[in-house]
Amino acid sequence: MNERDWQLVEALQKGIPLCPRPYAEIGRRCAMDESEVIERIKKLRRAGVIRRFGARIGHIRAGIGGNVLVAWQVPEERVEQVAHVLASQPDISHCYERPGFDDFPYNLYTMLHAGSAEKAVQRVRELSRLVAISRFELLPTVRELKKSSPVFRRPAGG
Amino acid sequence: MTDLQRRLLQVVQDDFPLVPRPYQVLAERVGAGEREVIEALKDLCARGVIRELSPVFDYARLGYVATLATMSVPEERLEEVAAVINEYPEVTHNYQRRHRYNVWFALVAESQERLARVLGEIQRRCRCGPVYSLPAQRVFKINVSFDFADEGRER
Repeated sequence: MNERDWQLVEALQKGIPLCPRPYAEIGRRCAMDESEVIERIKKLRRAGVIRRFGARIGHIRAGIGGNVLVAWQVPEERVEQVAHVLASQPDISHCYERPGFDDFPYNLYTMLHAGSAEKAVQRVRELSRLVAISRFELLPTVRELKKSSPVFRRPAGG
Repeated sequence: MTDLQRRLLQVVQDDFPLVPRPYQVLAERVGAGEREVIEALKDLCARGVIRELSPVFDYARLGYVATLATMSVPEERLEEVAAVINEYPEVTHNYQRRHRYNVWFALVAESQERLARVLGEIQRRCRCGPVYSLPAQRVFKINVSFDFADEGRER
C-alpha cells in the first residue's frame, strides 16, 4: 500500500458515483486519471485489500427478516468440521470462531437469515441435527441500532 | 421494488464492472438502458436498500483490528446506552438482540490500544457491568451476498 493507493482508498470510501463515468469522477477526487483508477482498483482486489467490490445491501430495508445470531458450543476438535458445514449453508452469512465468557460458553458464532422468526427456529433445529451439536443459543435481531462502514485512513506518520 | 431493481440487485453486489462505463455493462446484463440503470440504482440508494455503493475493504490488510462486543443492558436504559456506544466511529454495527446479552456491537480500530480504550470508555460511561470483547479467532465465512430472485434469501 503506497501513498497513491491510500489516496484512492480514501476516495473510494466516499462511494462510487452514479454517473456514466464514475471512475473518471473518482480520479478527480484524488488527482488520478480514469485508467489509473481502474488499474489500481484491480490491483487492490488481486491483493485482497478490497474484499468485495459492489453494492452493500441494507438487509433490513430490503425486507430481509428472521435475522438471528446463533452461538454454538462445539468441542474443540470438531470446530473446523462443524464450521465448514455451517459456512456452506446459503442462509448463513457469517461464521466465526470466537471465545466464550462467564455464563456464555459458546465458541462458534453464525449469522442466519431465515426470512422470519418461525423459520429461524425451525432452521436452527435442522442445523443442530445436521452438525450434531445440541448446545446453542439463539439471539434474534430485535433492532438495528447502527450500521455504518469503517473509515480507513492512511497510518499517521506513514 | 421494480423488476429491474430486483435484477440489478442480483448483479451489483460483487464484481462491479471495472471498465470506463460500468453502468452500460450492467445495463446490458439486465436488458435495460444505461440511464434507466443509473436512476434505478439512485432510487435503491435513496431508500437504503443499497446502503452504500463502495468497496468492502479487508480491515486486517489495511492494518486495522476488529472485535465483536456485547453487554447486558436493562431495558429502560437501552436507548441511552445505545446512543453512547453509537457515538464512536469505531463502532460500525450495533444490534439489539432478544437475550439477556441484548446489545451486540462490532468495532474496527486502527490499533489494539485504540480498541481497548474505546471499549474501556464505553464500559465506564454506560455503567452496565462488563463489556465483553469477543475477537475472531478464525473466520470461516464472511460473505454477505443476498439473493433477490425470490424474497431476498441469503445466497
